[in-house]
Amino acid sequence: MRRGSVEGLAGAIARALLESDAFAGSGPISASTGGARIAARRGPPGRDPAQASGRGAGLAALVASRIVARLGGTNDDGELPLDTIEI
Amino acid sequence: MARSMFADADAEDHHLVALLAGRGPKGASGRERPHSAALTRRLLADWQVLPSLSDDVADDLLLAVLTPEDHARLRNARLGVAAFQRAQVAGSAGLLEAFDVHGVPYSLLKGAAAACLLYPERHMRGAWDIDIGVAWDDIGTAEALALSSGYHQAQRDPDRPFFRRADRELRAIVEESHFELGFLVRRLEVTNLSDAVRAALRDEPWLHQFWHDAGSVSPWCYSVVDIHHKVSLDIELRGLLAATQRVVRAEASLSVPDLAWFGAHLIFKLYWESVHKYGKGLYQFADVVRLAPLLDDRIFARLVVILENHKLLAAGYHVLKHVPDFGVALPPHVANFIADMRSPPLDTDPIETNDLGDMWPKLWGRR
Repeated sequence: MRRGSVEGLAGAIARALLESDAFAGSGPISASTGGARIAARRGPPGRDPAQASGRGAGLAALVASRIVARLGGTNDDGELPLDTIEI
Repeated sequence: MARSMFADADAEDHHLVALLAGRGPKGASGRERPHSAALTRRLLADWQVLPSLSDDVADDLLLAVLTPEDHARLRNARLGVAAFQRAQVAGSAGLLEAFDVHGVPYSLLKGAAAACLLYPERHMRGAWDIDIGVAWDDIGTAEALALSSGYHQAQRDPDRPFFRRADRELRAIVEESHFELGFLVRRLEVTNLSDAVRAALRDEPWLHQFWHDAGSVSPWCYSVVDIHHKVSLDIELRGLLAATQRVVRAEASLSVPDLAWFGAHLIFKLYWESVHKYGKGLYQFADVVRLAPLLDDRIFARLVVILENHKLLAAGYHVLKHVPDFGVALPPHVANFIADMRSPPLDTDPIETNDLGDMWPKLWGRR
């Protein structure tokens, strides 16, 4: 089982934001990662979530990648272009 | 067992269970609709099932248990979510075709796979994004194909429900050590929305998390794909990709996991997410109860092997034992598995076997 899934800067970002309430709110991100947030915070009982093995480690990593998506504002060069489609 | 699970349940719980299983709620109870607000709140929380509700259920049967105001809200929500899902399907079609044209093996995952395997039409299973799995060696090609198919590397605005172009350095830091690419996003204006859908988007503010400029003549939404090279950090994708199958939906040939791998992934995701948070993930039982009758003994034997290989047998037990609560009979071999798993193996540790107990009360927001 792999250990230490949330490491380095990404892990630090994840942990810092998990300890704050920056992940709170509604919308696509929190709705799809709410469980992962808690998994990362707690992990299996008695273990450091950032060092957790088992399924919690994978979900903690998922949190990290999603959290980066919420940081925003560092390269704000505008809205994505608009495509048109029919459904 | 099933009855005891609902010993302290409210009426809206029973209604929601019926709706998740594809049935209508029972019990028109006169003019009073005491559970209307609670049921509406729960259905909106489990919005992924809204498009799966039949017209009979959405238009007629729900009216028996909801106030006219709540009923109108849910009808609008169902219309708006279904249109959003149709946009996800249409928006990702070119990318999936490109995978085939360029010989990149892939598999739809999670909700996108469930939509193909368990529902009559793909738009009937809601999800925020389209999850796709590819081999690690193909990840660069897959991303290039996404970019050439109209997707952009994007990240979410921290303050508003918008995506912006991604900070490449930050994105690279995370992707280096994790199992999926960051967001790949398109912004889509759907030009042929019906008048009914446009009215729903305009009238129901809850839908504005899916649709932007919803009151204008040109509503638009995002289409998001998540490209994974692992199921999780602990579960490789190799086995799943080796067991894909092709299905044809609306003339599109699509690659999806076989039912054994799909079921194992569903059980893993449902159990691990819901056991760690109150009130999350109930909608995934809509997939489980549609999958269970399809698990013949051969498929189920393979599913059990996958679960065992990843220390998820306890998860399988805790998830599958609740299928009868939805009025769905378990195949005999699945029922036997539940009986066998009721007692843990001797000398095993709950943590070591990833047995964090029953997630059922937590799914309902209870201890």
